[in-house]
Amino acid sequence: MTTAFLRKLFNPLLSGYGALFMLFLYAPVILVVVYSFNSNPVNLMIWDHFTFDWYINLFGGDTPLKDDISYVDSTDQLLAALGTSLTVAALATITATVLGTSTAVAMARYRFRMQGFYRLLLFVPMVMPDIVLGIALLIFFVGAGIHLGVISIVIGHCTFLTSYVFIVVSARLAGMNPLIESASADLGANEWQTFRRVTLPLILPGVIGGALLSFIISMDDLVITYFISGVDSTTLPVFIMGLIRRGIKPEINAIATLMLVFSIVIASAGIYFKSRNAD
Amino acid sequence: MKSFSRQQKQLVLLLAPATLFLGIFFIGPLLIMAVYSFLEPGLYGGVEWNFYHWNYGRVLGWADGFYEEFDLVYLEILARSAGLALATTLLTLLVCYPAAFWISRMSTRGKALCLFLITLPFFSSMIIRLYAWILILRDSGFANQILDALGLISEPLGLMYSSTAVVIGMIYIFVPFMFLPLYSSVEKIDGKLIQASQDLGAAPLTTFRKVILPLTLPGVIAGSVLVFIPSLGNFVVPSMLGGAKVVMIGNLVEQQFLYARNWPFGATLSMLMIVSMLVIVSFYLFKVMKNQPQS
Amino acid sequence: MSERNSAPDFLKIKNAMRHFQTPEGSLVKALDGINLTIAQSEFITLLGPSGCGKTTLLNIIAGFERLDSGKILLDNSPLLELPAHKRPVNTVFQSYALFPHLNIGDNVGYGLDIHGVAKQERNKRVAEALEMVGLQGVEKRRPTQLSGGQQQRVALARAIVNRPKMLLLDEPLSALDRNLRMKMQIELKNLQAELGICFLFVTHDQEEALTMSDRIVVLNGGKVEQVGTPDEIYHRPASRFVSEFIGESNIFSGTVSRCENGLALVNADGSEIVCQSQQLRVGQPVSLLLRPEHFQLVAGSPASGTSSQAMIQARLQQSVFIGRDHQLHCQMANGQPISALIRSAMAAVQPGQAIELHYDPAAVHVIPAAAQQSADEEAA
Repeated sequence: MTTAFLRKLFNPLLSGYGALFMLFLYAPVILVVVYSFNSNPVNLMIWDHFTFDWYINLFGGDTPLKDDISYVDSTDQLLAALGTSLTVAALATITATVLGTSTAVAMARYRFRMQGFYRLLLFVPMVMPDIVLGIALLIFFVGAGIHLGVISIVIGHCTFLTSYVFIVVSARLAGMNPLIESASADLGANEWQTFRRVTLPLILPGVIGGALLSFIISMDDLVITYFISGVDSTTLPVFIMGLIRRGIKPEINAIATLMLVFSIVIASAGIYFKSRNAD
Repeated sequence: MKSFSRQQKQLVLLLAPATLFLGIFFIGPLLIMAVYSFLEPGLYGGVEWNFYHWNYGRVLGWADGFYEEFDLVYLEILARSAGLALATTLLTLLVCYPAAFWISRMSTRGKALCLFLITLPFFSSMIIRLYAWILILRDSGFANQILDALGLISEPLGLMYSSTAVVIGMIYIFVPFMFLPLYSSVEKIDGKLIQASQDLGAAPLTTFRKVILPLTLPGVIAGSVLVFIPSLGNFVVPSMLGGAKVVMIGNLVEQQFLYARNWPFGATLSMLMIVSMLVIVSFYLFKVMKNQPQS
Repeated sequence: MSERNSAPDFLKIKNAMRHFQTPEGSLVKALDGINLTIAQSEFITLLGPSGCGKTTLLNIIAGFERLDSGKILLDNSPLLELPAHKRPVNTVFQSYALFPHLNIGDNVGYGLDIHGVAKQERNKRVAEALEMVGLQGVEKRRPTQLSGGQQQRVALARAIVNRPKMLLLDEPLSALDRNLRMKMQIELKNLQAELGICFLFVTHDQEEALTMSDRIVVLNGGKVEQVGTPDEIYHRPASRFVSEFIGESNIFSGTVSRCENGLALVNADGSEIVCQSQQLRVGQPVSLLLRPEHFQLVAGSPASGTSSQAMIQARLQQSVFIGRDHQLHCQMANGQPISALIRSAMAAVQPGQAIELHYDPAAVHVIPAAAQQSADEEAA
């Protein structure tokens, strides 16, 4: 009796909890999005009326909001930070994709003695606290006399992005019938031809997925970048952290909303490529 | 024999890029940091190349009290960081466990949608997600406004700049890290096992304790490690939501590097962080290997 | 058939050795001194239980595995020095290993594309190869859109389109259902005759081997047990292993008690078996093989038997109807089970009844002792 009663109670309770869970995940971000359209320049949590002005300001347009005494024009800095972030993410993604993919292929297709070591080498960067890696890189770059800028950030990002690409591509390789490569060799293709005509097309969804993941993580990285970016190479997250530390401004809501839209687009692209794996 | 060396050549070509890169830019910096932790801090930043163990002494208790002082505050901060990380881990587990069951009972399409929704925050900017909580928690923020409007409070609760705020922020950031491993082990449970347990006369709670919990343990452990480690070394969440009041080990390291300019001491704190991390990861690997020898 | 075998030693394998370490640390002799000569247009089957080394040998010829020591010559030129992609052989894989990202036409044309065959020629040869295996107009389809049997044909076409000197087939029919498998066996045999190239076929299915092969190589524990035509393998197995592995067998082990007029009497644990042999000597230990179909059934009382007659007295335990024949499971006085295949019309006996199983002494095969000895050594 009690068991049946409990079971009856259990499902609605679980669903109710699930709704709360989703609310917990999404309410805060939705709040940011909603208030990015609030025209109140003084207390941004008190609703005034709906406006696009914060967005217009961001893209360099002129709105009445700019006349407010508290307004600080940060569009130029924002665009510069965005440019740095995109440059870094693009370079780091390309590098990490090459490094991670070649290592994944080596690990999946050959047997060698150091395999355990390499697995560890690629696992550790993902669990290493960001701050440790950040300061280790800082000491290294300063000691080696490497200028702190885009290049140092790209190098720093690649140390852990390689692992993410490795994991994603390895999973793809593991799901592949290794006999297919033997078949290619059997039909006269040398190793390079086999890689180009068979292996690469088959792991491509994994490679693209790994690259997208790298791009997003690179765009979002704050801690490591915070330590190894120079004065002239602030990335978007570091810039936003600076803005927030200096005080909450309504335009941050608009920036945040744009960044959320951007990540949803990239993540959806990732899901799309993943679902294409099915065929 | 010929094809063997040919294979070796390809292997070297494939491994060389990552080996060189990670060797120089990952292992190298970590080794240099380890060396730094045993060097004497220079007077105006920088280092003197002398062997110097007082960096560790300052934290662990063998300082001379003259040049370097032992201060319990470092161990306190370490303990506080561990405590907050532990609280975060347990609460995240508590938050995610029922949710994993909720989603595992959905239709295939529902599952796909919910998994997408839960991983989506992982892909969106961490700083933005923390910023959202500032909007909610600060004195003129959403939470206080609502409570005020409901007449529950007359003056703002000091939610911001507290341990509570830091833990909430970390839970929010690390939910996907806990959820995904947890979900994958919940999903794997064969519903027939639960039926079998009930059929054999176990009450729901007994079934949970004897069947469900042991089967999801690998996911619990994996998720806990994935949350605990980044929580322990976190410095963004405490510096955004904890302010000067809640200093964690990560903030201390940041201070040593960017403000106090005592790099060897900062390196020492990092080394201590790595050691605690290694202990936890090896514990995890040991535990997981023991529990499921087949995978 | 043999007159077409223009080069009798087309593929020569000399003393091939391949050992490997299992993860547990024990040494496995996958190939333990294999010597083999194969003719240019022969259909030859490597037959043996799993782990006998047949797939290893195939992989070594294809170039996917290497040999520890030994030599392989194909058409008088050493094969082992060539990497897999330069060897003039092609393989049909057990799981077909079709390229999932290419359509059927591109799968079959893969080898031709690699070798830079001109487009027109390539398309013509792809169509021809597909026609040869009984598939037409499927070029644009994807491998996943085809049935298992069709994928099998595509794998075959993909291999033969390159006109290899030799085709290697690794249990290609094992994933097909029985009817389709029998149909494919005949088609493969016809295809081999049409192409006139050597087919090296690996299987663990003796029926398949007996149906298709010109010659069968029976492998066991990395060693060649016997090489011979299906008829030789079936009727004159060279070892106890071969007699037990191929077909159903009744084996009697004992010692020769009497020899006269080219007949030998063997005492096998109390019962006497007569066989035709000039070589056997009194006192010699020997094993004899009698196939179930070599028996004729005479029902009757034990007393009626004339002892000089070649027959075995037994008691029927179970009689199973299997179509044209009945399979009789009997037991001899000494407890040894015997299996006999009797025309259904003749099999009117009841379980528990005493019966006599008559046979022709000429049908009794003496399993060569040398091979048996070495087999015993193996076991020891």
